[in-house]
Amino acid sequence: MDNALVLRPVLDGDEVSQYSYCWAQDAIDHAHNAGFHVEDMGGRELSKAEVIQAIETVNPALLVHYDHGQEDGWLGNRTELIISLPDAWRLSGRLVYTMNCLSAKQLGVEAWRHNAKVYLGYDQEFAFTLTDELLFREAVAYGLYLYASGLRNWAEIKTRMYQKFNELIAAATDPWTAMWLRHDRDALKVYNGESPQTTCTFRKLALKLLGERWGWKIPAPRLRRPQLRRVFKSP
Amino acid sequence: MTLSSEDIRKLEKSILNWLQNRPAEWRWAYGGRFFTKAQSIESFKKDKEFHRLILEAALLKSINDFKV
Repeated sequence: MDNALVLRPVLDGDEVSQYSYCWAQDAIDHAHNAGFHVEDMGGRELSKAEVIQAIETVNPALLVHYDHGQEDGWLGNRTELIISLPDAWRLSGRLVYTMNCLSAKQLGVEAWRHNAKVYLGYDQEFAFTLTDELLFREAVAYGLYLYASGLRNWAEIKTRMYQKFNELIAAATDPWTAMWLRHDRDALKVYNGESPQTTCTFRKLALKLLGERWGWKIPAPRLRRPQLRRVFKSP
Repeated sequence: MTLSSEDIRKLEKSILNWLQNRPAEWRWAYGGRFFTKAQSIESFKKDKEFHRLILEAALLKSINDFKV
């Protein structure tokens, strides 16, 4: 039986991560239904050291993160990123399923370049309304639900998730809910179900000359030292 | 027909009016934080970046509504 590792930290005094903690229960349930043995870490702040140790011990085929994120990493506490760009190789060969802000923008691409089987995440800030919280919760877990139902083609999963978002947008009676469901839908990225887009001229040239896979193998020149850029204030 | 600044002002006014008609306990989350009704109204009036974000999201939603 393959292992799944679900990271669902709760930052001290942070209300948003209390919601993401609850939402991650759906990911746990779907992972169980998909036949994974699930290791659940969270409900508190997680340190990078314990996350790395858990990845090495559990060796998860499915790695899930529900919490705050930034372009180059995942948060688990207020002082360091628990997974950042230099850790992208640790995602190699794994299914990575995230519900966090922005991480598909850089970390997702980097994981994809390091042969992660899939990296599902969002390349914009994630937004939701409390009046229709369940619609957002349903949409973000839908990919794992499809996987648990036997679907293995991640391009198809992306298409079906997009359709699910559309169904929920149509069902939403609150314009604010529909507005942010549309926003989250367009922020959803599923690498390998699709290839990352680039605005870099050199990358575009490399992709043209070498093709998708090898064109992305050339390292990005600006790998900064990872640092926590987001500040979370208690409400 | 192009969208005039007058049209944009009408959209801003509609959004502001809609926000002002939310219940007092109304909240929503964007990224790392929750916004209350009062914070949403204040940010929409005073924070240029937030203002632009909301207008853009509203326009993109409208475009989405007419997609076939």
